Amino acid sequence: MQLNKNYIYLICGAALFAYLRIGQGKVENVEEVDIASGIGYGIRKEATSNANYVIPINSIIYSELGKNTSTIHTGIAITTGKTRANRQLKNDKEFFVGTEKVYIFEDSISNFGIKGVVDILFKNPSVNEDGYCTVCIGDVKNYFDYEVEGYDSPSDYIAGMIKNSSGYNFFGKEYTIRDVYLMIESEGRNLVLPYIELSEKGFKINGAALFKKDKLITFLRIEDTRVMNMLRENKSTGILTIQKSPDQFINMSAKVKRKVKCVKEVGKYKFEIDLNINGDIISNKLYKDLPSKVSIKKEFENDIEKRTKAACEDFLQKMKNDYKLDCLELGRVAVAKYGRGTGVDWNEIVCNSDIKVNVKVNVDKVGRGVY
Amino acid sequence: MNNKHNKKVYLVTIIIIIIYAISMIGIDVVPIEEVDVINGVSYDIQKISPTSIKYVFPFSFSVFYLNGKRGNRINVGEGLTVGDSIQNRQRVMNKKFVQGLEKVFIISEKYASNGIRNVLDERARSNEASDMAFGMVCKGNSEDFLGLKIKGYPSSSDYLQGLIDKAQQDNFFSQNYKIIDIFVRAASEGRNVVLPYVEIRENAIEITGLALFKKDKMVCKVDIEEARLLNMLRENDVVGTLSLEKNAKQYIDIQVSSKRKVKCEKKGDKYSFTINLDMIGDIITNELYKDIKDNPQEKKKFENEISKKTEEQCKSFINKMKNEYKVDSLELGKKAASKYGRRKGIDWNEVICNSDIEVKVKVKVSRQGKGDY
Amino acid sequence: MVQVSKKLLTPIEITALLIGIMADINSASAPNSVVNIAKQDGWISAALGAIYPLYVAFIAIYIAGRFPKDNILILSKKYFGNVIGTMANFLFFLSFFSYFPSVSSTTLDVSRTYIVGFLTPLKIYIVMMLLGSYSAYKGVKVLARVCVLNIFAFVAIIALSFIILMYGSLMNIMPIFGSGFMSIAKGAVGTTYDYAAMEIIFLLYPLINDSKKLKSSVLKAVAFICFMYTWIVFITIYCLGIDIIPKTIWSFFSATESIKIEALHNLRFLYIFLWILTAFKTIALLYYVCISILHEFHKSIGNKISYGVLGIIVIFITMTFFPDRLSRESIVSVTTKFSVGFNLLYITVIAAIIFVKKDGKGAIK
Repeated sequence: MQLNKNYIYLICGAALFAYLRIGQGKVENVEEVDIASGIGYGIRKEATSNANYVIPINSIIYSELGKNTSTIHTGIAITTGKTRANRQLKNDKEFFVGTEKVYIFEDSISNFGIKGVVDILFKNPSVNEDGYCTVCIGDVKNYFDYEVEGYDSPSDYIAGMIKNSSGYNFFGKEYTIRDVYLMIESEGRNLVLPYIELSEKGFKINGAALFKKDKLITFLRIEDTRVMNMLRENKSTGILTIQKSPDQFINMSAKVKRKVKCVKEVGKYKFEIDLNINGDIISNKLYKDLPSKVSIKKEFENDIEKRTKAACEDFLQKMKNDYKLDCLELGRVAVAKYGRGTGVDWNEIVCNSDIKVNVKVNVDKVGRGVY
Repeated sequence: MNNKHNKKVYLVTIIIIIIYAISMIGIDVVPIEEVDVINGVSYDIQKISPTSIKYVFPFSFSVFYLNGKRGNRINVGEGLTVGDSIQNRQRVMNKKFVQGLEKVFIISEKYASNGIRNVLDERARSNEASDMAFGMVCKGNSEDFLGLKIKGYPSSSDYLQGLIDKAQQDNFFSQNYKIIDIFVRAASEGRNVVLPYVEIRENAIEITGLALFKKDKMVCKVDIEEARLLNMLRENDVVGTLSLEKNAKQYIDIQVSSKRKVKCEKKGDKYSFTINLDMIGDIITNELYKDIKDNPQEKKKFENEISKKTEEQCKSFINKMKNEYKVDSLELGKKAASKYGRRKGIDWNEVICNSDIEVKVKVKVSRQGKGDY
Repeated sequence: MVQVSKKLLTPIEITALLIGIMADINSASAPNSVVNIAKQDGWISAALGAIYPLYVAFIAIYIAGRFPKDNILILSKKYFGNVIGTMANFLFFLSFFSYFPSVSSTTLDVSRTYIVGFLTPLKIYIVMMLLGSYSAYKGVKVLARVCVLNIFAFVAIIALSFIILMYGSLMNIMPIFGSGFMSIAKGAVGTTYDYAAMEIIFLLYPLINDSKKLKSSVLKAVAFICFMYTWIVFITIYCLGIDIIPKTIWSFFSATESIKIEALHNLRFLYIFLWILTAFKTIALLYYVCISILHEFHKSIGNKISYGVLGIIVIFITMTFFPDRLSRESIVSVTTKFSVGFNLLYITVIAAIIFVKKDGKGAIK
């Protein structure tokens, strides 16, 4: 009796197991699946027809000989979802999400609005939310075509570029697709991404792309980007320079701590941005006796403070009058203090407010001496 | 006891060795460098004069070098009859060639329009031809397709095999493009063959539609938009994407798996069919309905709209099929024959094209991803 | 159910069971319902919502103090008579039963979206019911141990979520009290579903081995749950902000995706695994509750067949009426009002009668 019971349980268990496995679907082999390393997004408007989304996927072809290469499979369709169907007509592997390292938005689709693209990524739980985002100038297929020595695919290289951009030029760390989700729709925030260009020498980050909601407003050159980053990011690092002539210059490595204060007086908002800069002199061909005389050090610190403050104020003017955009996350501070969901346009408010910048520079180390 | 046991072991071992030796007699084992492995065959036709044609059968084979590398070459067997061409394959080779490992067989459009009966015969009857090879119809010369160099692949046949095999991931394609599927559909009553149609675009090979056959002759090609509808109506348990689009900023896409049921009625001489498509799927993007994540009415509204749109598209395709293409590519004849009798000499293509065909589509939303941006 | 033994529950086990029935997989979407109304002060609403289980706790402590060995089913028959008492007990059963399909449906959704999208719903339900009924069949002592283990899972979830503090910003929480007291209060009402089912204590208190410890164990449970929900809502708002939370379905999961630990490449599966354990445990508990109430009606209920029947009924109801999230929410909003309302009424009336009649142990006549 005991034995029979066990057999019955065993048979039931096996039957249940078999039932659960029926119709499990086709099991995918890794060789039959498209391992994407980067996805590009673009939009083309032909004169006679509707706009078409052009979404190339840069995928890796693994070779038994060890040297992998990459290829591009492009889907073109009038909706982002249908690009998958179109791409499958040209792809001998199954579509698969989760391995991509970088998402590249062309200037074409950034001008159009990237909400649709963000939506299709947001919905899918398999998407790699730690993938880096960047904007590129021109056809993203050219970027995917450019082979880089030592890398399986150019997307791997570009992802590394964005990831390691913080550390210099005062770039921040929030350039993943998850950060894009948060910044596009949060009150008082606007999206900023580094943008890259391709020349014969290769890829280069040439500045930042500023967005209002999901549309691109403008590109900033790298010089303006550095200033903006200082004002926008906290705990950023980069190099500050004073150069009087090709032979006379001084470089200082800088760590910038930023604090923002917000006050509302008589309906007008006032922001105060405090930049606390600490750093070391890297090379000095301008200030004689800097390491030995405290007064010279102080002179240098004052000079750098004045220059930086002037650069910041220049940028703020441009931001308020030309770009008409709050790209410094000031709106966010105001929202936290004065309330959310009130329906105000924070870009407008910030551009009409008083923004004051205070810069304090402190030199820690002055190197081993002056040559 | 031990002794006897040992003797038994020896005896069995010796018998096994003898059997192995005998079975190995007459088998020619040859190193792979002395043999060419065919990885893709194709069938083409060339016009030599206004009245006569030449059968041209290009094929692609892998060459294995002593240093371990693998190369790929194309060669052609030509002749005035099919049999000649097949024989003539060997005449251009310097090694024995091994069949049975080919991944794809390509039929050029010209050849298909002439009739693929010989292809079917050769491939289905020959016990060397591979059962697992995928078939397709190509535009232009099949030699171009076999010879196309594709980055990262030793031969284009590898790529084409994946292309046709994975087509079933979307666009409602099925996996019924192997020789046995084609043979069955060409020979059965009330059934017709369809094959994926490929073209070379921008130095890559792309599926651009379906080739429709009437028995063994190709009658027309439909482009990919119509091919999706045809697949939906013809195949059961297939996957594809449906969308509603107002403009480039307002659209919604749903990836569905579709199940098809056909009902057939006969009143007098007139047949009427009802095709029921039950689709269930996940919304992959939504830029059209604001509240579809939280509002059940919005979801129902979407389901109704997409069902209606798909129904209308199917209806207009069916009209085109009946009046322009004049062929039953939806396997409806098979259903009618199974219900009302076979072998009566009925031309099912004609019957179907004169019958009433109704389509009912029901789309249901299953999942919506992890949120709605 | 099999009377495993006359073993009674320790106070910790009572606490674990209470926490277990209240904290189910719906906690991951708790921030969504609260943030809609109370915006960035949702976490305050979540804390306020604990008033409901606190009230239930006090009533339970009072009744248990007077009748430590009689559970509420017996008491209701005593005070309302056999007929009305049985009817009241049946409605009590229904209030728990109404949670059953919705918990199953939520578990199914999460499993299919995040892990096993390739399995059909029916297969997942069958596994769920088998696991739940087997655990429930083994008796409340076993269930209690499962719940104790589950507490460790919660502690792990909460501990890991502290890491999210590195990835968000306090500005998302501010301005505090910016939404106004009305919204916060309304938001608290929205948390009722998450704090529900604590009425299970009325079946459990006779099983404790030391009645003097009942008060502390019940209050500990309320405190833990209150902290857990408040923390979940707080950390989700902190990380995502109230603009993004409405776009997600299970916002706590989306928040935890930000966590990056060097050694663990994909924390998501660990997290979902812990949550799925939680879900199965809740189903087992609901199973136990339903069967034990029904047991009062008919002594034969409690054998293996009745478990199977209950499972089949639940699967049927879930698949017919709760096929997806939207239909679930519309049904649940109605049934929750009924369950909570009836339960509160039920326990309050019985407590009032006891108070007026000055019955039971320790009453001063």
